Amino acid sequence: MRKYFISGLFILLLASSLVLLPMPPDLDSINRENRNINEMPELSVQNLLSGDFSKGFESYVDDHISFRSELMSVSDNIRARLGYSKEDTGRIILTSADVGVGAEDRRLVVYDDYIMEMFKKNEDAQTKYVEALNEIRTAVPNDIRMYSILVPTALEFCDKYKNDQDSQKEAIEFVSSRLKGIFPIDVYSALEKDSSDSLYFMTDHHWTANGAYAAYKQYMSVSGGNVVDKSEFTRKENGDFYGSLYQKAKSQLIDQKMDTIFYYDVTEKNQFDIKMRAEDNVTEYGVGAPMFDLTKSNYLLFFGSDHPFMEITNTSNPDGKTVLVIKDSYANAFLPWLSASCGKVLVIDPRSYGGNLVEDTEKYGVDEILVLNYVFSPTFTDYSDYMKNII
Amino acid sequence: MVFSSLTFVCVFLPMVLLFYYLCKNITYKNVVLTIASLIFYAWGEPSLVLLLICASLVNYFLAIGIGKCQRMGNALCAKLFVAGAIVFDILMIGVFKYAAFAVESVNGVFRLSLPIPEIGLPLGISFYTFQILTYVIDVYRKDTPVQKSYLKFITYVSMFPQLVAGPIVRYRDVAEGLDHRHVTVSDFADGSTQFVLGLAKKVFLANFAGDAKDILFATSTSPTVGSAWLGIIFYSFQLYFDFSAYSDMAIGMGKMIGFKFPMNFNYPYISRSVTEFWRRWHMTLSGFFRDYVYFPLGGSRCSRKRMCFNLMVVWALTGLWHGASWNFVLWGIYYGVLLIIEKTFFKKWAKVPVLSNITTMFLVVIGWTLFYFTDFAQLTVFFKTMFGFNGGLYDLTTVSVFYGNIVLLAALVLASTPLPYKLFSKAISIKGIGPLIEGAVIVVLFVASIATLTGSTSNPFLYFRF
Repeated sequence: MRKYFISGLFILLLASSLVLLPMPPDLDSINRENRNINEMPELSVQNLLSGDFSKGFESYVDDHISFRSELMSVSDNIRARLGYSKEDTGRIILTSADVGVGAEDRRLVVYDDYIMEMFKKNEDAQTKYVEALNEIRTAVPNDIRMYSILVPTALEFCDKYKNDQDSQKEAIEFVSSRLKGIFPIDVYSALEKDSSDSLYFMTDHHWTANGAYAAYKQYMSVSGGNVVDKSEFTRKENGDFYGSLYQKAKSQLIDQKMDTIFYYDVTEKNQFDIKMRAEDNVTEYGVGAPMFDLTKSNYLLFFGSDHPFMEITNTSNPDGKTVLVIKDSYANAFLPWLSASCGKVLVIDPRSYGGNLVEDTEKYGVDEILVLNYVFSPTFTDYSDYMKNII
Repeated sequence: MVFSSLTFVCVFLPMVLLFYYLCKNITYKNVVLTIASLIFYAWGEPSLVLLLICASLVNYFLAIGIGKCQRMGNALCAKLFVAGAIVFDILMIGVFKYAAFAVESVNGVFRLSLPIPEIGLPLGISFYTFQILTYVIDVYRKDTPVQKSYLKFITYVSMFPQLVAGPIVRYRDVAEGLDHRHVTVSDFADGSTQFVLGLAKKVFLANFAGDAKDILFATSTSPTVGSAWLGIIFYSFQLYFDFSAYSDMAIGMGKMIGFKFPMNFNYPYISRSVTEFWRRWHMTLSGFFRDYVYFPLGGSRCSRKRMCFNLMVVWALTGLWHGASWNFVLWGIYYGVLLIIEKTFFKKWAKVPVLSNITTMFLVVIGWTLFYFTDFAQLTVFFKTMFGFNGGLYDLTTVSVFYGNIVLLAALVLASTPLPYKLFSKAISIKGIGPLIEGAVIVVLFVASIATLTGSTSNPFLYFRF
């Protein structure tokens, strides 16, 4: 009797799990991860030999299993019972899924509702980053002033855990002290002193419009120019979201609070013309694109995404300076503030820019160049290569 | 493809069992099994499946040659054939697994800069080469007859349940099953339970222990004494549950298709001596080295000096088998030395309860430290940290991981003893409700394992790299 019962039960379990695949997938669970569902890979000899088919098929199975949300919530409940978190301690967890934020250290700190990346220095890569900046300095005309901002992340200001990672302050100083003819802007102190609420998102690795404003004020105080007052603009919200860090570790997070995306509407007092240039450096797109893309309720609200090249003209301030920003996505929340103070802001994302920096500085009559990245970017080995390739 | 993946559990295994049981004839069953095994292997190594086929073909013909020579009474000819097979197999594993290591070592010793060959390690090469060796040597020793059917031979060599991470199944243990095998419903039921228990062991014990260890070892700053010990203890559990889970799943699937694979682990962490530990850990590998290296060298029936030499050879090779790196050799030698010391001075220590368990586990954990760090500089720093010469006693990471995994830690300790399985066996033998309890455990563990695998990235078995 036992043998028939157990064998039958196991066959039933296997058959049920096989049936879970052709059923409609749980698209909601995929949408919550801000990505597209993995489709069945093309069955070709090339794909089979390269191993792409097997990898793609496994991703397809992982995404198409029915009741994905329910199954993941069972998993969450199991993981939450492996131990407990002392309230005053918080938790360190290990990320598994890679959603495109390639930190060297895969640990995240979960403390006081914040999920924070742990920083790991990489002096070889940081040296390459310095070289890239110095090469850019040499390539552009001497009369163009050049500034560097490296933005620390939330964990650096969390007294409890800041020493469990490599010092971001030291990493910033490592870069700043080796720059030649480039002025480092100390946004670290500005952020440390700022008493505004929510300088960083709780579930995303980016800073908020408040954090960006603190850095902007510091930048303007060094480079010169009219600083706009945050209180003169309406603070607007555009929905709640779970950010990239949550997506990396969501299976281990229970009852995580959501972030609210907010912005200060600088377009109330300024008229902006925005246009983009594609990777081919020829095709123009997005003419008249909004500064705040209200179809996005996360960090992508700022300009909709990262673009290879953006030209933001403040028609309300035709006499303002022209600043060229070389940046990662951290700058996106900074640019609205900067654009409000300038006549023109040109934005280069080195990861996809297809033009030549020197030609663009001449073409637009650039007054100054600002390189703004978050402190992790110099530790990514490939990022400096992208930077070097723009000249 | 790994056993603990949705693709394997939800697609591959049901399909294989379906086609397998649709076939009535043993030849068709072997065909299904071989095709499934080659797909399983090619899934991760599309081109290197050819190496597996090539190795099986060469050894198949060489074994036939051995058989023919023996039938003709030509011992020298048989010896040449078996030597040819051994040389071929060792060369194959040497080139694919050890070539880069050898060149690196030569470069290091003689300060040369010879180009290091970039050869990818074929999945499970250490396992299937040893299995093939057991066949040709046993044929030569006349312990098993020559297999004349290539289909049956490749079915044995490529059999997916134990192809990439053991247990190391000797040909003679499955030879009869290749010709005719019968799966009883009782075998299938036992196999199902063992498979699900193994799956749960991998998903809940090995993977979670691995996560905890990774947090402690991923630290960018130097770990504390507490983090170092806690981390290496989690790693020790991860290794055991990872590898024994794979063996459980392999043995369980073997039962479902009519093969009885040997036991590979027998609660090694309750051992009272290093000798006992190796009788309980990776038993099929120890058995291989005992029967095919240690005994032929003279074993212990020789002078004390010679026995020590034999032991050191066996353990250096055991270490090297685990990986092409000097830390594995060191790890093997460490055990060789420990065994000699134990046999010479501490024969009676194993009779002291608790204390002998503690000392054995201490030595095993130190061994896993040698095993973990392939870089000697890192190993030195880590040892310094473990024994208080680096860093503080503990920090927030230590405290967070300890409390955050305290239930897991208790479960790992408990599951390392026979107690949970004894309780389970007792519960399922209760008249009337026993099968219901067993069924409930299977359903809960299976569903929970599938749930935990959903949305998580793959966690390959650690022993895949050997």
